[in-house]
Amino acid sequence: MRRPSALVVRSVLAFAATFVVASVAIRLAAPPNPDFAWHPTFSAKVDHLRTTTEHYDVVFVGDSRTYRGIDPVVLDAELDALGCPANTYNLGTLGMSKFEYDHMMEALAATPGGTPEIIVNVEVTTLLAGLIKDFSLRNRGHMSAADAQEYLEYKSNLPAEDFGTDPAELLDTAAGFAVNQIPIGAVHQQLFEQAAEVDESRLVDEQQGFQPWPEFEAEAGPEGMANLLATLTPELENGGWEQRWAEEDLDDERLDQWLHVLGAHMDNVPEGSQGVQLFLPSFFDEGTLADIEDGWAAEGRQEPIVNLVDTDLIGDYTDPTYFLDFWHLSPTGSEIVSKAAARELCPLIQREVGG
Amino acid sequence: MLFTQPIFFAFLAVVLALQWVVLPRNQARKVMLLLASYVFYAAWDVRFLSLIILSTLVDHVAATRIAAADDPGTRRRWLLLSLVVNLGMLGIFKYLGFFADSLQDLIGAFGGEVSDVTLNITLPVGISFFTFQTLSYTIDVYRGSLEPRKSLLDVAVFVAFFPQLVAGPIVRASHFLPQLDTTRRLADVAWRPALTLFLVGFFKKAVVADTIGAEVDKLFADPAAFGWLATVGGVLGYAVQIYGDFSGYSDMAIATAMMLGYSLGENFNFPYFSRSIDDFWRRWHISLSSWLRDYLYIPLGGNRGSELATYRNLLLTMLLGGLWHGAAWTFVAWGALHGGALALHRWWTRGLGRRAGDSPVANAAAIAGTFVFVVLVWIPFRAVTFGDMTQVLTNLVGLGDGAQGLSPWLAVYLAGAAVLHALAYQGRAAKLPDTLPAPQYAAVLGVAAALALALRPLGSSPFIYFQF
Repeated sequence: MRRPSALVVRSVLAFAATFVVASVAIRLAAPPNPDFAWHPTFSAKVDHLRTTTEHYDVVFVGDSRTYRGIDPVVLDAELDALGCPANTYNLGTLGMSKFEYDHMMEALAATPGGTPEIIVNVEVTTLLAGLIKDFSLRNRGHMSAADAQEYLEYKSNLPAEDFGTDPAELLDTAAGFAVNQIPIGAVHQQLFEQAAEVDESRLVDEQQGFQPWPEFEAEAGPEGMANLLATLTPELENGGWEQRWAEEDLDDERLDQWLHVLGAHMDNVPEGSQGVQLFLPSFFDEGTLADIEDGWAAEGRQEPIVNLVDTDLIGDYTDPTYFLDFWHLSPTGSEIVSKAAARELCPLIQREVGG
Repeated sequence: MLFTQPIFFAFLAVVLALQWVVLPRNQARKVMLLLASYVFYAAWDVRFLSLIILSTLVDHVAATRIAAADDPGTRRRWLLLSLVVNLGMLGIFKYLGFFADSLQDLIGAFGGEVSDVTLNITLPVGISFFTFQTLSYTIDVYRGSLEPRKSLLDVAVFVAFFPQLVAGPIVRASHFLPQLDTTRRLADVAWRPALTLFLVGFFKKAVVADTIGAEVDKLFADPAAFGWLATVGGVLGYAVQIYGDFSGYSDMAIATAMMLGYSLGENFNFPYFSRSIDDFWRRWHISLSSWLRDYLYIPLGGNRGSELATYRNLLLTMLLGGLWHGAAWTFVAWGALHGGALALHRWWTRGLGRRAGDSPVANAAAIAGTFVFVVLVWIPFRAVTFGDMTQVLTNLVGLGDGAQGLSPWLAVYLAGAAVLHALAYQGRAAKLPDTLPAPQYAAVLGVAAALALALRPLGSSPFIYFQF
């Protein structure tokens, strides 16, 4: 093994020092545009909320499981048929960090069309994952030095008894911050309008924010689709559900973390809106969700829970035809779930919206 | 795994550490480089690694048998095997679908009926490059200009060497194989030129080509929507994009090889400063144009026959060169235009004895004329259909109906790219880092790297030449 010479060491240190200083300077001079998270759908939807004069009665907020799972066209038709008409919008986006969620809530509170009567928070698995593991691509859009103070305040206000102060986690946070200071695309983002890549009319007029199947198919491509469908059935047939649920099985600490995160996001629902917590199949099994519902009630939360992981509501919620993969619903699943959500929300809509 | 992605930097750091710190022996390093190259390729698609291995085995055996045989017939048969296997793979994976579709269209055009069969064959990345590279090995051995290697490992490293595996330069065996004979020395690595070249390549690709490419894509996606100015910007933009993309890749490939102690040779030499189309092909994708010259144009007869035969050989070589770039008639048209221009240039200079003068004005006019021709001929190369090509040309002559524009930043990027390119051509751009002491040079590199990352778009775009 060779030892590096002093000149090499000095050169490497000089490179590292100027790279870090230049990176932080660029990040401070050109902070990330909060309207652009890591997917342009996010910014297109935020832009829409800021400018639309259309009033939405019910808005679903969530990640890709919502974006591809809750179909407002189906849902509105079912609500009409049930005698509780409403105008709904799907505010799902790919990935969802805490900052993205807050940004959407701010936009919802100030939308010219008026804050919706009902805001449905669909459980977002990445909210907790992103919180625990900060070194996450999904946080990139907001993890700038400029956001550091806000983020650290948020982290420091998390209940210590639930989240603890694991040194490894702190190290992870520090690593996440450090990596996110590398200003990839920082100047480019200021010069070119990224959000223009999304056809807003599609998100607004045609599907009310929902990503329909053909579009997803086009995004995934024929090979990607074939791979997805080919791996789904064998995975489910070989005890896939039980294995996945076992991975997500909540011990007491993890349950408290979930309850805290769900509650904190519910607390961000703008004044004047009724918050609702909705659970889609299939991330948790019925037993786990019963624990969450019990915990929700024990904490004195008043917001209703709509739990669609229920055989009475949607039939066999492990039916492979409902799913595209473990997390995402297929067109069949999406239609069944959207209709079930309409049935569950109808009484609340009659109370909050009228009709 | 793209050269511009963080994963590649981690991969390269591991390979460099193994090469220079962990493994002192040449043989161990070659094994490591082979495994690393296979990992690099498998990161795209592990299935097609088998093609590289097949090509390596066939050419190793063929070259050995060619050299061992005295009988010309036996030698020819082994060469034929190498040609059939390599060109066969290329034909099946790259051209089968294209020719099947073309045949269907042709029969349909004459009123015939054929069942609509679509062949969805995935194109293995880099197949055009590694098949040409390995073919040069067996052909050189057949010609007697190269001794075959006894070591299969050497041949395998030559075929799969990861810096140039997927998009060239197409390295000749006679250039690369001798480098495997000696243990590379860390002290011989020209780190400063290598790091500068890598950063320049990264800048060309990730900052210039990817940024401009996003605007160019808008034009070619719907040319009818755009006005004259946007079309001029988009067409010029594509010329800059393809140069930045491909020469950027070559720079990074050459620089990566330099860091490992190997030389790959030059692939671009300021082609947009060419004084003629003939000159252009001595400066653009040099490793391919010289391959086509040595293994296609000269065997066809080169310029040894009549003038008419020479024109035919030029045209045929460039037609096949066009087809090498992609299985589409637009690429054939691009090759035909270049072949025709080369023949015309030869007729003009040799047949009529005309030459451009050496005055600065004549020089500038020759460079400008060649540049305009090359830029215009990029249109069929980039257009997806002949309809799109016609629309872009219609816009260029001011007869289009579209009015849409492109980002005004495109003009700034084009102007900036032109200035930087001109400075580099005059040899001024790289002088500053050369004169600085090592730590100061590293400090400049740190700032430049941060700036390059900040100026690049989010996300990574594949290199254009990966599809060829």
